[in-house]
Amino acid sequence: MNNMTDTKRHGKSILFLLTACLAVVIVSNAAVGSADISAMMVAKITYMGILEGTQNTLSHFVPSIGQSPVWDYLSLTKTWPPKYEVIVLQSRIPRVVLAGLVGAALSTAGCAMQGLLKNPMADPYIIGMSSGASLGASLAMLLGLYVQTTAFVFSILTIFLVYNISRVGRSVPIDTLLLAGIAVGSFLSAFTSFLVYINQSRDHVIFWMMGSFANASWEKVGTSSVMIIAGIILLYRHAWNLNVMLLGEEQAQYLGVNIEWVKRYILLLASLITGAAVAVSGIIGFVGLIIPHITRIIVGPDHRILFPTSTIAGSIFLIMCDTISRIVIPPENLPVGIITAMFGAPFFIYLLRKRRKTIYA
Amino acid sequence: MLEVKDVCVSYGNRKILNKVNLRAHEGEIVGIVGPNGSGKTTFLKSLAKYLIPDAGSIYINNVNITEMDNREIAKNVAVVSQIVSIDFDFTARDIVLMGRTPYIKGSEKPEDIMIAEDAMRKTNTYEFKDRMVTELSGGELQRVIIARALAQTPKILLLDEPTSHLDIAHQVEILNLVREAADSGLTVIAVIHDLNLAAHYCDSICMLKSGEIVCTGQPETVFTEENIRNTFNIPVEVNTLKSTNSLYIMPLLKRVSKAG
Repeated sequence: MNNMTDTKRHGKSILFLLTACLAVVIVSNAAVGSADISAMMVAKITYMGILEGTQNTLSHFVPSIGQSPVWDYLSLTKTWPPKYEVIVLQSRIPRVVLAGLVGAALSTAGCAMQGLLKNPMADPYIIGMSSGASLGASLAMLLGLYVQTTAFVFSILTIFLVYNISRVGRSVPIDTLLLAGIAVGSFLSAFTSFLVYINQSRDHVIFWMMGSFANASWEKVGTSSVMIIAGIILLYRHAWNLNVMLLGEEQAQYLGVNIEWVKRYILLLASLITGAAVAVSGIIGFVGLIIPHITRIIVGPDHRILFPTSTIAGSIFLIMCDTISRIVIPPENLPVGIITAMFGAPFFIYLLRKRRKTIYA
Repeated sequence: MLEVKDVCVSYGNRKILNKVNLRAHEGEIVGIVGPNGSGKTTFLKSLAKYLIPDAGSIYINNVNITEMDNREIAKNVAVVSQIVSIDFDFTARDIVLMGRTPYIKGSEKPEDIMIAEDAMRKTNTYEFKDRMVTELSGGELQRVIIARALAQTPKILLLDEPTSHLDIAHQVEILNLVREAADSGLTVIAVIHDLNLAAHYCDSICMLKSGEIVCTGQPETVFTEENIRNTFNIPVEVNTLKSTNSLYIMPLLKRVSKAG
């Protein structure tokens, strides 16, 4: 192990610590709410839920496994009323899991965008995704279409539009991409504002644009999780290329990186996971901007460690913010986007001041 | 072996290189000299396929580079660019390992680490392998970048003014390194501004002016007073140093009165 540098060993233990934290955060945050259910009970209910789910799935394929005595050994006595089970398994856990997924998606996509664009201002929305998604959502609400799908489709269409506007021959200059993203974003925002203005029930649209997990469900977890998890794993495979691209595109090409291909691939993946996240939660700002910066300060610029730490830190951060949004003014559910900035920004400013060095390095 | 045949390169309508020919063998250092804007850097960039020529072709061991992808090129050609600054907190070792990029799928293997560390020992950078590149001096960073190039285990090494912002001792240190690399079988093409160092270290010289080759050959045949005056528009005197038997080129300057 002596050829592993200190920072990397350091990074790995931080990653391990964060993963343990995430498990604790999921359970403890699911214990917060109007019905008084202890964290221990949440853990037990969740465990039984997973156990029974596994048993049912397995016996569906091989009936004899379902009869095995192993299940009885593993089971706990249910000391809780059935309605707690419904609250935990059908309301709180899906909500926490969805927040965790969306946090992971936004933070990982933000990390990829900052690395790719070499711009500290970059976040998952920087090249117009949020504007596209908002336009899709407000259009869907006006016309009675399915909001989740329309928002997703619009966000992906926006990226294709921005990409093709910026394309010069076979390459896409980063500066042009950024500017085209901002221009297209403003253009689409104008249409969104117009749609919001003429919509009778404009509260829904505005609420959606602030982001929320109030309507979380296993169905939403199901539709978004495949794309988010697959996208994140595929992005990890480009960690090395992103490291090399931090040296500049010319240097990266001299080192054998097919830069245009990598750029397209990373843009596409980051857009897909962001789109999937936005579709189920609305526009949640700040996570994708700040979490990668914070993890970069702690573990350094190596994407092989920066990516997973950002993913998990993003999950934890958004789960916590969502919990805060539930308890600030009970029983109101504040839009979580308000919380992420209200609590995240001061913390980030603190880090900026404490470090007193350029933050993006 | 590197072979360049009638290569023409232009940026838009502006022609930068016009029918450049060159041949370089293993173990040879070819120095590219010429005034600013004569197309030296453009020439190196086209050798690494960063710029695509409008006409002509470039062969590495008889294979046309247009038939190679970026990965294949990077296995054969390593580039040390003019000004490299790295703003990110990677360790020197991380940067040298990046030289293994064309060979790596996913993550580095023990073999890659061995090759990278070997390159670091050759360039005397191993002792600060765990230091951040953002904290290295110009000379140290340049050696790290050369180590990265060597870690590519290339056949051809392209250097663009590798010593331009270094002091005289570090210039010599870097060029000695390059000489060793060439002696171990690499073909080196180096853009060098300092004509004296070029004359001392290069096996042959290729003199460019306005994108065309003025003359190529051994330093003694290229660095004549007439060639240098015509190419750089400055009168010079060329002598031979008694101690090393190498050329010594000095511009003929007007006498300047110095105070004191």
